[in-house]
Amino acid sequence: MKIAVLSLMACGACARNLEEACHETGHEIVWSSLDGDTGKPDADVLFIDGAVDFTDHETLEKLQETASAVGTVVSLGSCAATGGFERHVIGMRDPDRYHFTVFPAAKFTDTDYAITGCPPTTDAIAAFLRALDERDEEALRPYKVLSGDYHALKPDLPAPVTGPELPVEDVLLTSNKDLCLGCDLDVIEKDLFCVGCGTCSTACPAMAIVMDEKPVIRQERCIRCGTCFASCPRSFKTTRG
Amino acid sequence: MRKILRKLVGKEEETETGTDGGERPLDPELVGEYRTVLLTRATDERVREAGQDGGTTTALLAHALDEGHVDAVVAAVKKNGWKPEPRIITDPDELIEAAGSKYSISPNVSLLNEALAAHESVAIVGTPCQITAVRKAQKYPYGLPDTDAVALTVGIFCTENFEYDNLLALLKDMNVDIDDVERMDISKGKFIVLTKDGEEHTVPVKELGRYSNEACEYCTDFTAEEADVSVGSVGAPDGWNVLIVRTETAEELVQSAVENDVLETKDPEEGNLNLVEKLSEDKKTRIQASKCATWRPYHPNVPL
Repeated sequence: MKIAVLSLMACGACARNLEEACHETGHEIVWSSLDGDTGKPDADVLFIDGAVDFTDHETLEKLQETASAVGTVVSLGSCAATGGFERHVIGMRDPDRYHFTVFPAAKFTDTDYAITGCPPTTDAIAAFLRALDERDEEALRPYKVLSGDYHALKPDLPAPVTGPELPVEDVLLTSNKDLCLGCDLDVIEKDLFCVGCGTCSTACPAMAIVMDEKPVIRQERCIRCGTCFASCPRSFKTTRG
Repeated sequence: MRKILRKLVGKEEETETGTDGGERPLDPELVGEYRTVLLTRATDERVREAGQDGGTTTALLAHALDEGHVDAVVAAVKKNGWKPEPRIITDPDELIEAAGSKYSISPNVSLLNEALAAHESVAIVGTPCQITAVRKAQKYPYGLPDTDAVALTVGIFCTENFEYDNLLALLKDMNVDIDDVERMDISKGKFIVLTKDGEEHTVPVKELGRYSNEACEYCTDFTAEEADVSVGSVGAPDGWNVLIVRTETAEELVQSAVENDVLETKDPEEGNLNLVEKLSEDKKTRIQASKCATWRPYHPNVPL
């Protein structure tokens, strides 16, 4: 596949891991804003990396122009998908002015998939690229749901809904995208889905989760990336085999 | 589950599996795909003593460490007052500390990143949900690099687990002090606690529901269907284990353990493997009575 990268307010770690994953899986990066490329990319997949400040019209126009030229758009990393630490304040720090104007890139353009992580590991991106290349719908589904396009997954309902609105396997993914994902781990715990396996703790890049049978989030360390939530075996199920 | 559906649909497909499956000791629809089923126990008496039943898990992992099949094992060790704690073990002799079942939550997967960072190949022992978590991490490696280095997953048969406080509450209701407990076991439909004064206290498993971790209500996996090898005591004669070998690497390891006289085996016919099937089926139908089932009218796709 021909791959394009648009890097916005980002530290660059996601784009770096993407380059490594492309090497590994044999895909070519044909257009990258990090290499000074401009205009409309001629690519199959566009990876958007980073958040965007909504007062920055120039960047917003660039985002829309680039995204409209490519068939498949992917939010790469938590800043692009949910805002990450660009949107949410790290740990217990007081919010800065810009925390109120910065949003995930996915808010301003339609995205097909999202890869959670801060940064997503090379393995995680490579796994996604393989699934996309093979058009493995079953494997791609979680990325699709995490990109926020879960409305299409709703079943036709004969009556008004009073309970959760999605099938059980997706029910934990209905959380408000504007909330920090670190808090969403509480959804799993409060709704008593937590089995106490410790995967969230092991996956956390900030080492912000300690286990005392169930996870305890050390808010001072949390970077709001949502890796814990995405890796939880109860946030979404994987197919067997 | 599919077996139950098939029963409802009709006999047509039933005969189909009869021809290709042949005489298999366990139904893969209920216990997951597997290669072989064995009855095993550790040859080392010391391991059997420390282990819950046959000490198979401990012996097999010690053999994996000895042979260099893995460099480290993530397992649960028992702390004061029967509170389990995950630990990375590299010395086969230290494994004996992790032997035996603990009826409380031990977040084994939480040490996996540490184990993978320090060792080239790692084995992990866990409940079915923990094995599922590892498999998910391998398929969607969001935060964990090198998940391929998980060379062996050993799943433990599991009906449900207890939060430590609830385990204490359960023991209190049985009039047992946790410090007096010599041994805990779930066997023949009963939760059995043996105290140090030699007394036996029992509660039927059916009454454990209100003490168990609620998340276990949504679980349909009794035998750790995604593990490389699953171990349990259900269906085995006293002092023996049922061993479900699911992958080729696990099969080779088990074979070499038997050849090296670490494990001894018995013909599965001598056990009662129907019990494994029955408990698997129970767990797959139990979810019908859970909170999930009340969502059913709204969610045609609920995986019941």
